[in-house]
Amino acid sequence: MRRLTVLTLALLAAACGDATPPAGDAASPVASPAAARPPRVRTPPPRQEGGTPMTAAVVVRGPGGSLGPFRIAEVDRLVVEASYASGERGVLPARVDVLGPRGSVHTRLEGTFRPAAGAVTFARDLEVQGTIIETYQQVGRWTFRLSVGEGGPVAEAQVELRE
Amino acid sequence: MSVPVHLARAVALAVTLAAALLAAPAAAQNLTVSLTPGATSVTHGQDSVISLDVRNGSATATLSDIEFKLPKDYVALGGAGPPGWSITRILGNGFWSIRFRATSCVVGVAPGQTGTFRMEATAAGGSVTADEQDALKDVTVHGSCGTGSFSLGSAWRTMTFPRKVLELAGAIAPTHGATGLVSDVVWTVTNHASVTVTGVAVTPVVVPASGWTSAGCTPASLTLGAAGAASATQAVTCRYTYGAAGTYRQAGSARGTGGGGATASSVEVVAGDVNVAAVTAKFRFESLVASTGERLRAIFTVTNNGGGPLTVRPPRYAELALTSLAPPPGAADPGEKNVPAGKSEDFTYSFDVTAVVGSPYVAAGAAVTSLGATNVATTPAGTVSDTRVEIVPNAVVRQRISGPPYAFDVEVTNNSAYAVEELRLVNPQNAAFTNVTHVSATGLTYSSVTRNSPAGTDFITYTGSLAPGASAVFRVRFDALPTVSITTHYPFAFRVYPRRGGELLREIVRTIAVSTAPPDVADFTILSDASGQTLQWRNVSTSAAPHDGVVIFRAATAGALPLPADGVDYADPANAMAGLVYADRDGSTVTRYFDATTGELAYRVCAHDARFVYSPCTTAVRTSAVAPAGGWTHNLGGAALLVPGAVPGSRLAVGTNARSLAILDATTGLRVFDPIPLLGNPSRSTPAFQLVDGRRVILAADDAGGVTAVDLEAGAPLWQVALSGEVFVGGLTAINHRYAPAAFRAAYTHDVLLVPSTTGRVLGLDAATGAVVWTLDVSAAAGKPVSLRAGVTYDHASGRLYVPTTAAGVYAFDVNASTPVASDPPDPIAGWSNPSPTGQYTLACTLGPVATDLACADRSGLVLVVDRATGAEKARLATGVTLPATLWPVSGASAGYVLSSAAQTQRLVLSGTPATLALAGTAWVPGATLSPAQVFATTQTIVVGASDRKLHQLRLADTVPTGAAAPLPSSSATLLLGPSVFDSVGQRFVFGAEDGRVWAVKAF
Repeated sequence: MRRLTVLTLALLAAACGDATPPAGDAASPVASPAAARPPRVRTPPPRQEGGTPMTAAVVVRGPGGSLGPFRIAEVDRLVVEASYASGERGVLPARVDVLGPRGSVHTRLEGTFRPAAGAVTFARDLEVQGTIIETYQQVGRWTFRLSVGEGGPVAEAQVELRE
Repeated sequence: MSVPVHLARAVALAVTLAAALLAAPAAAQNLTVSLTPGATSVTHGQDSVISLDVRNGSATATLSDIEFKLPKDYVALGGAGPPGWSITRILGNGFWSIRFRATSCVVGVAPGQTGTFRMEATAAGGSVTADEQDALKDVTVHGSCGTGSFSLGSAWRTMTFPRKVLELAGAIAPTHGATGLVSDVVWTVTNHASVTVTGVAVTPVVVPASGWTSAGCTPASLTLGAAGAASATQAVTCRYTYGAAGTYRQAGSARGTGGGGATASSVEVVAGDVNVAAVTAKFRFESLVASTGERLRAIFTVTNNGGGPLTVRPPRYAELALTSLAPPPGAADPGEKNVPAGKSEDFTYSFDVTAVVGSPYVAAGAAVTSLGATNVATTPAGTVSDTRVEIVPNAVVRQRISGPPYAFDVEVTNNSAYAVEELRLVNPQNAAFTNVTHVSATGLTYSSVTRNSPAGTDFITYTGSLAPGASAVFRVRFDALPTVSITTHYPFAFRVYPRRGGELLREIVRTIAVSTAPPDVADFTILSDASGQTLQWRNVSTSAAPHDGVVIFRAATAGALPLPADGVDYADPANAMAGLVYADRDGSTVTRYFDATTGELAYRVCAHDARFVYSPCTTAVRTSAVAPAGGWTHNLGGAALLVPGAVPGSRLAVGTNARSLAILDATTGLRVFDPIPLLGNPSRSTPAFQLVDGRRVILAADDAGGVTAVDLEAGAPLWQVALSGEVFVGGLTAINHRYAPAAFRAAYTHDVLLVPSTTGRVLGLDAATGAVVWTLDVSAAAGKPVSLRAGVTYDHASGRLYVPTTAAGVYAFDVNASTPVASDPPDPIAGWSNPSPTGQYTLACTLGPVATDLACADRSGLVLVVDRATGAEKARLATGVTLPATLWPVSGASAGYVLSSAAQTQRLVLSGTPATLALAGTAWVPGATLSPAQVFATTQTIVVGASDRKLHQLRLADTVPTGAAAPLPSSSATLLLGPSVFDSVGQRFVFGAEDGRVWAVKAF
C-alpha cells in the first residue's frame, strides 16, 4: 500500500497542478524506483485564502528611524520591522534571516504573526555596536529575508553598511 | 415362502425408512448450541450481544455454514464468527437472522471442536414491567465439509436468556494514583420498564477482592420512575480506598423489583480499571478493526503516579506477547523516556496483522522502570476484518496539500468469500469536511451523494459488484478542511452491504488526521574527522505534534537534498530512495548517526509524527567538511566568531548566533551534551570559570538580556536568568572570590559576575545562582544617560572596576565598598578623574603590564594609559586602529600592548619616564579581514585568523609573521575566522567561523 501512497500523491499533484517544489528541491537523477517518486507536495509561499492578497514586507531602520545606507561606526543597532497580511488564520511563526555581506546567515530574528488578533507586524533589534558586525567591520550589503510558516521567503530587504 | 414383487418393494422401503428413523436419534445429538458463559448481555430495547457456542459432536463432518434466527422484535446489527468465518447475510424477513459461513473448510468447526458466534442486535423494546426471558427462533445448518451430516435436535429450543429492564453504566474518577488512592465509581442506573421499579441497589464487584476497602454506596437504594420519566435515571456513588498497588477492575450490576413483584435487573457491566501504583501501564490499538496484512499501530502508555521522576524502558518487540500480530520487518524498539511525576508518556508500536478474518488480535507487555516493572498491560482485542479500507493520504497538513478542493483516495479491498454490492462513505462532520463530492471510482460505480442526512452527516453511495479479493478505489474531494491547532483525527465510516439496498453487514471507521507539522529537530550539528561524519540533533516533541522518528538524506550539495513525502515510511525497505541514508519510527529516541563517508557533503534531517507527516525540513540542513589533518571540524549551524571557552584536554564551549552554547570534547570534537539554548546572540566571549565551591561553569551573556551559567560536568544550565529590558553586548567579567581583596571576601560569600548593559547599568550577579545582588547605575554616576557596550575590567588587587561608556569616557568604582544587597552597589572611586569625558569605547580597558597602569582604546584607535587610582594620563598614542577588537598587555623587557582590529594588528611598546607609547610593528593580510588577535605569552606569539581562511602566527615582539596554517577547506573563497584558543593538552588551536563551523587545527 505504500506504493499506492506514492502513486496517489503523484496523481494529486498532477491533478491539482500545484506541486511546485521549493527552491533547491531536486528529484534524484538516479534511475531507480525512487527516481519515480514525486517531489514533495508543498505550496510555498503560504497560501492565500478567502481572496485576500498576500502582502509582506521587511523594513530596516537605523538611528532616528532613518533608512540606509549607514556608516557602521555610527549605528548602535538596526530595527528590523516585518509585516505580513493574508487570508490565513491562526498563529503564523515567522523569521527574518539576516545574511551578512558574504552570504552567511548572521542570525535569525524570530517572531509571530497573529492576523486574527490584528498582530501583523513585529519588530526586532539587531545590535551592531560592539558586536561581531562591528569588530569584523562587516561592511557591504546585508540582506534581510522574511519567511512565514514553512514556506520560502516572502519578502526581502537589503541595507548597506559602509565604513 | 414366496413374496409378491410389489410387496417386496414395499417391505424394502419400510425397512429403509425404519433404518433411517433408527439412525435419526444419533444424528440429532451431534451439534449442540449453548450460551457462551458470561458473554450474553441483553437489555430491553438496547443494543445487546448474544453469544453462542456451537459444539460439533460429529466424528466426520466439519461445520461450515450456520444461521441463527433472533427472538421476536430483535433487530440484527452484525457480529463475528470463529476465526476465518464471515457474515454472509443479515435478513429481516419477519424475524431477523444472521448467517455465518467459513471462508474455507480449513477454518470450519471441526469434529470435537466448539465455535463461538457473537451476534449484535437491538433487543426487543416496548412495554414491559420486569425482566423477560427470550429464546432463539431458529437455528439452521446450511453446509458442512467432510462426510456425514448434522442435526440439532430440539434442546436448543429450551435455551433462554434474560432481557433485562435496567441499564447500568459506571464512571471512575480518578483512575490512577499512588497507594492510598481514594476513588469514586459513579453508577448510573436507567429503568427501561414501563412501571416504577423499587428497591434498586447496585452490587459492585471489585477484582481482585482484596487490597481495597469500601466506604459503601450512596444511596443504598433507589426508586426509579417508569421509562421516559425524569426519575428513570439516577446515580449511585461508591467510594473505595486502595491500600495496595495493583489494577482493580470495577464492575457491577443492579437489581430491584418491577411490576407484580417480579425481578428488574441489569446485566453486569465493567466501569473500568483503577491503577494503583507508583507506575502503571496501559496498551491500546489505534483501531480495533484491521484486515490481514494491514499495518496497525498500538500505543503503550506509562503513567507516573509517584512524586519523583521515572525512567521508563518500554517493552521490546521481542518481549511482547502477540496474538495474530507480528512486528514489521526492521522494527526498532522504542527508546527510553523520562516521565515526570504525575505525567504519562506514550510509546508507539507498529504491527502487521497476520491472522485470518474473524481472528482476534491482542498485544500485551510490561515496561521496566526505575521503580520496577509495570503491570502487564493488555490491549482490548481487535478483530480481523473481511474488508480492508485505506485512505490516502490519511494525514495531511492543510497548508501543504493542493486545494481547495482537497482530494483523497479511498481503497476498499474485499477479503470475504462473497461479493459486495454496495458501499457507503459516511462523513459525520460535514461542517469541517465540507461538501463531499465524488470525483472518480474504479471497481464500483458512483451512485449518489446525500448531504446533511441526518443533520451534520453526508454520505456517498457506490454500487456494483466487488468480487472477493478485488479492490475498489474512489476519489472524493472536500471544499474545505478544518483548521487545527493540534493534530486532530476525524473519523469516516465505511458501510459494507453485500446486497444493494440490503442490510448493513459491516461498518469500518478510518480517520483522517489533520495535522500540524511536527517541528524540525533542533541543534543539528555535524562533526567531521578522519573517520567520517557524526550527525547529532535533538528531537523536539510537542503535545500538538509528538515526535515519532527522523529521516536523513545526503547529497553532494544542499540544493540536491531530497525532501520526504508525507505519508511515506522511509524505514520500510520498500520505500528506499536515492539520497536516503537513515530512517526510523515508532517513537525512536535516536539522536546521533554516524556516516563513514568523508568529505564535503550536505545532510538534511527531518522529523516525522506517527502518521509520517514530516517537519518543514528547512532548518536542519548542514554541510560537512574535509577535516584538517590531525584535527576535526564541527558544523554547529550558527556564526561562531567569539573566542571559545576552554578547559584544556577536557571541554570546549562555543557560543553561536544560533543562540546556543555548544559544549564539545576538546580532543575529539564530539558533542558531549546537547547545545544549551541562549536567549539571544552571545556577546564577546563565553569564558570557563571555576566557582568558589569548585564547580566549573561556562558563562554567557546575550543581547536579549539573558545570562547563563552551564555546569560543565552536568551539561545543563546551572542557572539562566532573563533580565527584562537589558541588552548585553559587552560580555561579562567575573570577580573570583578566592583572589579578591579581603574586604570583598568579608562582605561576599560567592563570586560575582559583572554584566554591563546598553541601558547604562552594570548588573552584579551571584555567580552561584544568577540572582542580581545589586545594580550599578553608571548614568547616575555620569550625570547623564550613558550606554555600555564594552566589558567591565576588574582589578583583583584593588577591588576596583572600570567601566567604559560609548560616549562619556571611563568610570571607576570600588567593589570593596559595597555589600551584596540591592541598596549597596559599588561607589565611585574618590579621586578618579575621567581620562576622556567624551571618549567613545566599545572595547574593555586592560590592566597594564605596570601594576599601576590601565590602558583603554577608544573607537578612533586612541590608546590612553592612565593611573588606575586616579585616571591621570600617563601616555597616549593615536594608533589609527579604528574600531579596535582586542587590547592585550605585554610584560617583559619590551612591555607594552597588542592592539588589533579587523584591519591590522599593532605592537605598542611603553618606555621611558615620563612614559611614552610607540609603535613597534604592524601586521595585516592584504585584502583580508582579521579576527581579534590572541596573544600567547608562553610562545611569544600572536595568532590571528584571517578571511583568507588561514591562521596566521606573528612574533609577539614586532608582529613579524612566523608562519600560517594551511588554508581551511571551504566552498567560500573568503571566510571570517574567529579568535582562537589553544588546547595545550591536544596541541590544537580551536576557533570558529562565520559559517557556523568550529575548527581544531594542529599546532604549527
